[in-house]
Amino acid sequence: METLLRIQALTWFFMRSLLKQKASYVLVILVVLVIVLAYAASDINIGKTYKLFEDLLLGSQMFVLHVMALFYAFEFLQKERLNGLFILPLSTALSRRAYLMAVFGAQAKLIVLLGTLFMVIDAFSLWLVEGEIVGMVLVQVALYMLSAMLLGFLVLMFSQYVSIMNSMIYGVTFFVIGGGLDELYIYVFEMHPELNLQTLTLIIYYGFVNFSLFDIQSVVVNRSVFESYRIIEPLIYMVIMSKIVFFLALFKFQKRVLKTGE
Amino acid sequence: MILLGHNGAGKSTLIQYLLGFYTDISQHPFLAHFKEHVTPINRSHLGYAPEAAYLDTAMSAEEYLTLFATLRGVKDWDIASALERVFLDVSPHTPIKNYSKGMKQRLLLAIALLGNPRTIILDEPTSGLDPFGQEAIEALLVSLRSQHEMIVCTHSIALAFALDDEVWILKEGTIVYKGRPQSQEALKSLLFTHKPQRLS
Repeated sequence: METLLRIQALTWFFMRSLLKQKASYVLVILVVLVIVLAYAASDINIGKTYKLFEDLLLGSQMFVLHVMALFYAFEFLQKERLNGLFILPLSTALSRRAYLMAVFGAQAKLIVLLGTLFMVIDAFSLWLVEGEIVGMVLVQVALYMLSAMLLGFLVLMFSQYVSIMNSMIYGVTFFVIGGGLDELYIYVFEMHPELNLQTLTLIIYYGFVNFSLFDIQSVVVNRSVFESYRIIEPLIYMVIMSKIVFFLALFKFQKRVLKTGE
Repeated sequence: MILLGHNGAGKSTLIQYLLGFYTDISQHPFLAHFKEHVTPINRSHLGYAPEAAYLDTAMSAEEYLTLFATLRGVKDWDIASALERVFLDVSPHTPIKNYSKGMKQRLLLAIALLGNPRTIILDEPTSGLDPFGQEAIEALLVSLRSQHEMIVCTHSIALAFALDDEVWILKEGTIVYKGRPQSQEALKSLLFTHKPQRLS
């Protein structure tokens, strides 16, 4: 209980510190501007009514959520490594594990905060433009939120092994590759079926960090058949992958020399 | 315990070793020697004030003190008294980026003293301060010495002597002296007998 309170206090402290960055507000304004632009284009019919509006809405929020995940991870790591933010908390009885949980917790909560704000803005915009709050659109924003969270976790994990800049590069690389895994899956399972390749693809599909699982935007905007596994699968995947990423980070952090200026 | 020595002698490394920032003695060449003299201390009853640069300047005194009250499990405290104790006359909500170096040093001291820990560790508490700020901090530390066990790393011979505690002199990663010199002059000449081969 005591440890949980400490983790919460440190999470809150890190969140407040990162929220004081002006970038958070600038990017929220950017999202609102894109929604205004999308509203202006909402009467353009590209196969489905409101498809363009929803595409612009979701595309911009997917971008901002992931950029913010990278930004918060980078800012935090700068403060931690270059300014020695870890020194004071770790001079108390707080364990390294609890400290790292607070770091991951702050990253997760910041993205949830931002994602929730987007969902509120979206609900209002959808009601205004389409006359109803389209639940599927909000579900997609929630999934992007999980994807952004996972990207932030990855950067934090990589930073235990490599420099801050390299951890950002690895994070972005994993995101780009992981985002295209659904195309590989379709190619191997539907266009050129071959047993060995399918087995290999399945290993990569679930073993590698698969960001494509969180992307159901085409299903949402085209109003295609929506099956519940499209939500359950990424949720379960996120829980498992977050734990793996956290333990990989902890494995190194437990043994690492705590130094500043790295 | 007062730690004296040239730059790069290993004073800060010794403090970081005490705090458990190193997990294995192979992580620094000085640690094998330090291990023969000290062991990492229990951080449950510890207050630590590092260099002022290690504060997040976007945050305020209130945010820092609130966090450390929770981290140390201190229930009975108030911001005004914590700041008053270190003569820090500032609004608790003022961001630290508006503080002078002396004010940051005093805030770190306020954080270290929160909850009256048994031991306080101070890493160069008067470094970079003007003579007035230096005098104020030194007087404060001297007034606190009867209430806490202190581990102070400093370049100030006057402070080292005024704290009236065992002095450890470090030279190039080795503890070369442990004792209590009789006068400030004796301490100064003792320190100068352990001048390093090369100044860093």
